Amino acid sequence: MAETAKEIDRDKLLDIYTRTMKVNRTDEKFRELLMQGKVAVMYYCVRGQELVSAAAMAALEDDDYVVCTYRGQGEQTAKGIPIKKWWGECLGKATGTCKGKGGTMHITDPDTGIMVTTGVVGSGIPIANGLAMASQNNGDGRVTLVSFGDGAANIGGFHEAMNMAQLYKLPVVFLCQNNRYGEHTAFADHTDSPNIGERAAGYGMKGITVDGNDVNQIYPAMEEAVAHARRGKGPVLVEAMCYRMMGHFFGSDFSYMPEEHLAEMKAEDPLPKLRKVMLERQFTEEELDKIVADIDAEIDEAVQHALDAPLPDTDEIYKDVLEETA
Amino acid sequence: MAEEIRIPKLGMSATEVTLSEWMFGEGEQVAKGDIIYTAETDKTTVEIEAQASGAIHPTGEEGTKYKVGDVIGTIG
Repeated sequence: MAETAKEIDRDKLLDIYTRTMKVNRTDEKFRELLMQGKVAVMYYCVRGQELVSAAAMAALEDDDYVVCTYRGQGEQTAKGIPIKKWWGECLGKATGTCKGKGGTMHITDPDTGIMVTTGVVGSGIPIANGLAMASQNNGDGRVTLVSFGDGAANIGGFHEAMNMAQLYKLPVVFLCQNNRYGEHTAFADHTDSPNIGERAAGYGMKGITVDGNDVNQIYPAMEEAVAHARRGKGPVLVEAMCYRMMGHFFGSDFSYMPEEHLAEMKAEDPLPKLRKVMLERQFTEEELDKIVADIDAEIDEAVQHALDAPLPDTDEIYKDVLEETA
Repeated sequence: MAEEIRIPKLGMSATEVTLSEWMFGEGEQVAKGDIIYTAETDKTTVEIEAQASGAIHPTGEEGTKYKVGDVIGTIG
């Protein structure tokens, strides 16, 4: 685990807290709507991984690129995607980021740098190389961050992309959110090495394995990785150790998770730990509660906006599919 | 205003869900977060939590298959 001596700047810490709670409150609201049966779509819960997404997005610039997976709510909302458009897309409405034609698993909003969300495990990793190569060629100074899980680290595309990115010193950060489960399979049942981060050495790449439940560990690691990539030193593989505190998707049973694992997760829950850090840094309970209340009000308004919005017109089905030529 | 209890979507291919068991009877008080019923698809059994507090009025029959979105009771 990376050790850090430098204290996170207080404004940055508040920024990370706000992004973390935005991710968490969105997740809670989504599960509530699904549980009520008001919304019937696929949703991959991010409970337990909020801080990793928030810290990663807080380390990026607004115009940096992000590629994420179907469990991408954290990156999307923490990066700053317009929340009404986000809910619109999730509910399949014309007001969505992709006019309601992509849904939860294909959220894309280039204006905020959410370049693509993929539904196939690991498929975003080589795509990130393409975006990073474009930035390198254009000299635009952008960094591309791609998020994926521990299960994705065993597909062929992962290895090909790692090798290529290092060879060409691409400005990309590979963020492996090791939540200990590849869909329904425990880490130890699909991988024999103790971690993913040390694989970086095999490509001659910089690798970091870090505690994703501790803001004082994860944020400095993300900041270091992004700075390394931006300076032209090449890619970095960051493995953030975290927990997925729910099943693979909403509605999936997670009785296969052993009791001791559930207890371990609860003890390491990043949210109470982050709150404790905030209080230690002299933020008040009232300030922190106010942030959450403001986020909740914004989410409620966005959800209502999406529920009231129209479905896309049927003639939209052939639009945005093929390039229109004269 | 009474909160409707609707059958949730429990997975990509789930269109029908069996209401297995109610945990509370007619008029009993439930709190948000209480497990109010269990539901079963061809793949999984899931405990469903109340999303509101108040008196529960179950109308759905145990052991019956419902379509996603069907109303099976109210709270409040």
